Amino acid sequence: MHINGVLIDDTFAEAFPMAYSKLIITADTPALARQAAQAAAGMAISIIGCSCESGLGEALDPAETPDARPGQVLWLYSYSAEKLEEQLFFRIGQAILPSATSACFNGLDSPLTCKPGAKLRYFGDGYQSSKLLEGRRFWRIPVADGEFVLDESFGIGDGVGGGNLLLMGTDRMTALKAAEAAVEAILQVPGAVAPFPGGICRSPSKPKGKYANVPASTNDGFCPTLRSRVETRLTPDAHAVYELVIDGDSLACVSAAMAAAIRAACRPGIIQITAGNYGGKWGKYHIYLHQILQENPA
Amino acid sequence: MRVVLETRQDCTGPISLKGINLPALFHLSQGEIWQLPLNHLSQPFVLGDVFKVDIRDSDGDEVVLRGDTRLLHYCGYGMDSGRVMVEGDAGACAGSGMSGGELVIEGNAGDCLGVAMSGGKISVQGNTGDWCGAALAGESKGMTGGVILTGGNAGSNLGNGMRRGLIAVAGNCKNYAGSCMLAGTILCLGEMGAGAGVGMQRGSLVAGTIQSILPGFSPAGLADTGWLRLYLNWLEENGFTMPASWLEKPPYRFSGDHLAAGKGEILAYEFPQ
Repeated sequence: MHINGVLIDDTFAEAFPMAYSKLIITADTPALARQAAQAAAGMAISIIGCSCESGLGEALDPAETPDARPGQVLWLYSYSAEKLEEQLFFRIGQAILPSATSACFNGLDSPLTCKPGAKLRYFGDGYQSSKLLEGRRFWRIPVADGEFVLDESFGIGDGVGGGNLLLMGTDRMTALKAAEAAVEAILQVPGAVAPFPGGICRSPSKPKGKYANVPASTNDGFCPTLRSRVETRLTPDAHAVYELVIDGDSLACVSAAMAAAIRAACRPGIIQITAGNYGGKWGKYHIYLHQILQENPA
Repeated sequence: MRVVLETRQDCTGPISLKGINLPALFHLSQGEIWQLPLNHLSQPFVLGDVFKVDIRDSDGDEVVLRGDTRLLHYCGYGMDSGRVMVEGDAGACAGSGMSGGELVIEGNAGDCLGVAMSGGKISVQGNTGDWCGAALAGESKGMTGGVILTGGNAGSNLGNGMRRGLIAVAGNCKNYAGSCMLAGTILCLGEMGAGAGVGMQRGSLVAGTIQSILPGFSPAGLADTGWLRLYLNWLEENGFTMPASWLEKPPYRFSGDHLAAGKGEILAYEFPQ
């Protein structure tokens, strides 16, 4: 299959079930809300290294937030509900609580919940108090610019992580521009996040490697400088590859985001678009590129 | 199903609905409803002696009380689900012991509205009497959950001994609001009378204006409105019109009552200097 002259490899991305939460962070200004969300998303790039992947969602108007202030959606993904609760506790406590004027609310109705707020309240050192409104408990933690208000419970959903694409370009800048366009398309899909810096990964990996205790190592088949030393996956005229990793709140969401990304990336200078998999042995979900393009027409 | 109970014209004395679980009427036939025992003029009657009963198909389940509804005490007593509508004023103790569902009173409510309530929602379009959301006589805890919304004014001892939940009053309330309060939230958009919060241990009183601040309360500067915005937002979604000034400036905060646990607070936009 070709789109705009770009070969779409007949292969699949191997994706995995992930637990996720949706946070609504509010503050006195949109900039402060975004700043707090960005801080909480800090280095949540890959679960390989930090147990968590995250990305910013949409900015919210005051009419869309629980406390009628400007808000910012933040998505957090991890590989289990327990790990996700740890990350929520850590990231709300370390990043959102100290951010000026911030508050943090649950944005996901789900039967499965965790209670990071019940632990974070102890920062109040006995001066914390709570409010219960229609069965929803909020904690008020005294801080030096007033009070930090947060939900006690956060919903946990069944999401999908590890959707991915690899864009091969004739040169680095061409591949990068295509990747940026693809990330823009991904972020238009509600519920989809691209957790890498700018949504783009220059270091696609494979599981383990030649050294013991290394959970992942460089995916040598896509490294241009190793072209003559390994079984390369590159076409002869490809000199740069960027990977896009996509998490979403459902398989349909990840598939739609991947299809949108493929279409956005099919531009001059891109030679081939493929996807990473492990032979289908590891991931529960196999997302076939040709199939998702048919199911998600332009 | 819609069950309409209309008082008969010859009824002139108080009628206690304490023994009638109104949401349970949906499971009964007209004849069974007719035979339910109730107390009228301190004499045993059956429901059919006092009410005309009409049952109709409807999208939702609702019990409607109409006629001379001022005579009806304990409307919605102990209800745990469903919707009860009083088309007019309700007598005393409406919604007492309620744990769920929704009670709507289109007129005024008598004293002791929602006493010992633990859940559900009561909406009163008019005024409420004294001891709304308060503790039963001899008990230390008032309402332990749920919401009471009053479109008019409220009487004295509003939320006395309240343990949890929300009471919102669009108008004014009389003296001793939140007295001996253990926790929970009382909002009064108008003026709150004297003695507010006396003996309160925890919880929040919020008032547009407060008549006086008791000596057991200490000034604590301007309040952070973070949690209050949640409530104001929720109230607006539930039909309360909030004064614009409440959303623009923070209220003053007083902590107390320091003669009790002292962990409570009064937030007031206007107070005597």
